[in-house]
Amino acid sequence: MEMHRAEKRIMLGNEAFARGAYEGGVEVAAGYPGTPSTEILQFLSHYREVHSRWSPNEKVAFEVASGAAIGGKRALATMKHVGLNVASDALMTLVYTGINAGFVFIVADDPSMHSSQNEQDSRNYAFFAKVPALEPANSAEALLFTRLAFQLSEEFDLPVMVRSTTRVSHSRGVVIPGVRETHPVRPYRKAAEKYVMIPAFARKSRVVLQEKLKMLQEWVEETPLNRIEIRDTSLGVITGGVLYDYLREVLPSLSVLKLGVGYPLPRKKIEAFAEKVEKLVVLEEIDPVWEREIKSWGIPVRGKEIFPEIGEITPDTIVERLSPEKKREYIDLSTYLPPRPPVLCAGCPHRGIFTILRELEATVCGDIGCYTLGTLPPLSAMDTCLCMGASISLAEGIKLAHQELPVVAVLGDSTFVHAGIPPLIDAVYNKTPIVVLVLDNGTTAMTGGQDHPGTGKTLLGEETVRLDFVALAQAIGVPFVARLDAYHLAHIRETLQKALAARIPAFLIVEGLCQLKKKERAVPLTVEDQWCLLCGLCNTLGCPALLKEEEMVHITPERCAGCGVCAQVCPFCAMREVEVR
Amino acid sequence: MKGSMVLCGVGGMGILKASEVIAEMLIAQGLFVRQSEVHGMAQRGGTVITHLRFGEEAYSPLLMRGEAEYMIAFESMEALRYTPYLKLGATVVVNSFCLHPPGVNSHRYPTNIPETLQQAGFQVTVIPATEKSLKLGDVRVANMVLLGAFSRIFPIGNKEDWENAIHKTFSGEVLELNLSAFREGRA
Repeated sequence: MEMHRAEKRIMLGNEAFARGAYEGGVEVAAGYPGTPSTEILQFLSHYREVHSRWSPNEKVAFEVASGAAIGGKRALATMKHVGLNVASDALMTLVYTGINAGFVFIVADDPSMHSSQNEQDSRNYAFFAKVPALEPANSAEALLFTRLAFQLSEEFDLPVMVRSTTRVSHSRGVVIPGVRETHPVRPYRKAAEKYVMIPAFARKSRVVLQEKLKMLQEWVEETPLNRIEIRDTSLGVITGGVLYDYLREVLPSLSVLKLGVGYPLPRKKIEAFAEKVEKLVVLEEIDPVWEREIKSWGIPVRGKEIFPEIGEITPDTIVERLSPEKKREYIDLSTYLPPRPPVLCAGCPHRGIFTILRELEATVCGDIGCYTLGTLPPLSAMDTCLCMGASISLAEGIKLAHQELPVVAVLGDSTFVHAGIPPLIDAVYNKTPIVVLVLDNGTTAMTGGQDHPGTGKTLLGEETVRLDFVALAQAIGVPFVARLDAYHLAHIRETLQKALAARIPAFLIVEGLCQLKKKERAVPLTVEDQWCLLCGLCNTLGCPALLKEEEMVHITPERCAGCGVCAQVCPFCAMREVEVR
Repeated sequence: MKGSMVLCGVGGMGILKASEVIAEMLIAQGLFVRQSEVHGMAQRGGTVITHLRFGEEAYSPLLMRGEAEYMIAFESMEALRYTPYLKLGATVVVNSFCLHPPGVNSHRYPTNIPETLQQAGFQVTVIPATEKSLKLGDVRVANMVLLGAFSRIFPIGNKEDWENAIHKTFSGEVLELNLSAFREGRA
């Protein structure tokens, strides 16, 4: 993959992050998949000089990478915004110990929640943890800033955050790749005062951190990453990230202070900019993080009174709020269109189980993953979905509140490994009679199909020990354990009823390979009209291959995966395999 | 020279690959390109849109409403959904293929889509791209058929430029198939 010629290339933001880390001499990289961050590590894994790996969760990834840096190799951790919550325990104290070789973590926020459960603003973590944070606007900066972050990390002996958003990670732009820096592995020395955070040492480290921040403050005033561009001085805009690119496109005449560093802020530079312009606004997505800080210095500035505090800001929003006369005319022919939301794939192994849970009127605590696609009618599969692993613990709590409810926790294999094991131990330890269903589709599906400890393969495609879920549950001491076939509905129903009736903690592993991972397609089914009484039961499966016309149910053969779930649900046996001629 | 376009359709129809080819073609002409796409949840059969901007300078990967000069719609109804991004009188290349959203009664699917677009003042070209791709033996190359049709209308790039971009985007066995699909669409 070595590229020596300075050649213009178009890269996805996430590929550019990977390239930047590679060029920055990263040796160890770890992460957990999460949209919009997933592809960073996947692209990085193509560079064989780098040891890249998926970890069971972001905390493990962050700590493995931190350890590698403490040990003397440049290291990277990647995650989505909510992943940083999981890793934050390590982050909050790693700023005290500092690192040895450069340590960078990339965190990708998702304003407007394209594929997330919340839209938290990771810049808050930068202020909270006192960790320097860079804010690239596009692919070129993603490469450059990530590369630079390693130097910065070593210069100040601090972890460095690189913050992305969906539109930076998932947009393409032109970059010019460079060559990889190589650094000898730094020596590792035992230094308990630096790396062992007992209170006596931590109190000293806290003071050291403050000194580092003071030096960092001088650096942010100097660095060209924070750039003043004076044009029309009637309005000055302080902004960063992709919003800078939007603004440059739609209102190119305004004066701008582009913040490449989101924390700490360059107070003197901001004051100087404020002096040069008549009016000052802060253009930032999600929280008024910078606005609050700047206002606290007594600088008159407006931000969220102009721009929305909820959801992503688009070029349209900017024009609408700053220069509405520039809005363009358009025609909207979308008004009466039916929606087209994402759904569980035809042939998805989750569909049958949700049908049974609905039939049993179970209280279903769901989790993060593809199965959230079964939330809406007709499957109406879930009562709750909060955060990774919470299905089991929430189910326990609901059971404590209402003993009479049949409470079931449903989570995927990857999610179970991520955060499901401690709550399963809790259910056994505290004897909470809930049923835990692990839908094992052999991959991390929602993010595009990544390996994890339960698949027996690493990120680099090597064979490894496969985590045995049944043996794990038995070792934990779950009194009711069973392994089920996701496409055998009668057996699932029977076992589930037994498990609920037993009133003990139960662990059922439901196996069925993700539809997107299947190599061969089964024979599609067809509806035999003479048997179909239009009862509509099959339509409650929410299968994209099943189409209800006025007077008939039709299976689209190109979409049907031949999973046979509809045939098991149909009371009149109207579904048959298409005859192969 | 500058401009912008949207590509829209349903997740899994090869919209990202098609926009990659367009971007590669434009870059080879010495232009800058910014493009935004949808990953994750929206790939599960949901509606998908890609924005693409090009020029000597190109900053924002997202377009404004009323901005795009071109649209390539990989599915008929999705063309209507994203008309707000189009400039008045924009050029629309639309696949004749209709994919009914699951769980929606089929009579809610709009009829006479090309006529509706024409009446709204757009320059419409309808291409039976899915049909043609099935004749070529793989429905997945409908995207290249559409691109071939689009390449005749789009003022930048000759046949060779486009085919070079396809060479950059695909390799191995699928390359030839994608090239023939492109030529089929361009013919």
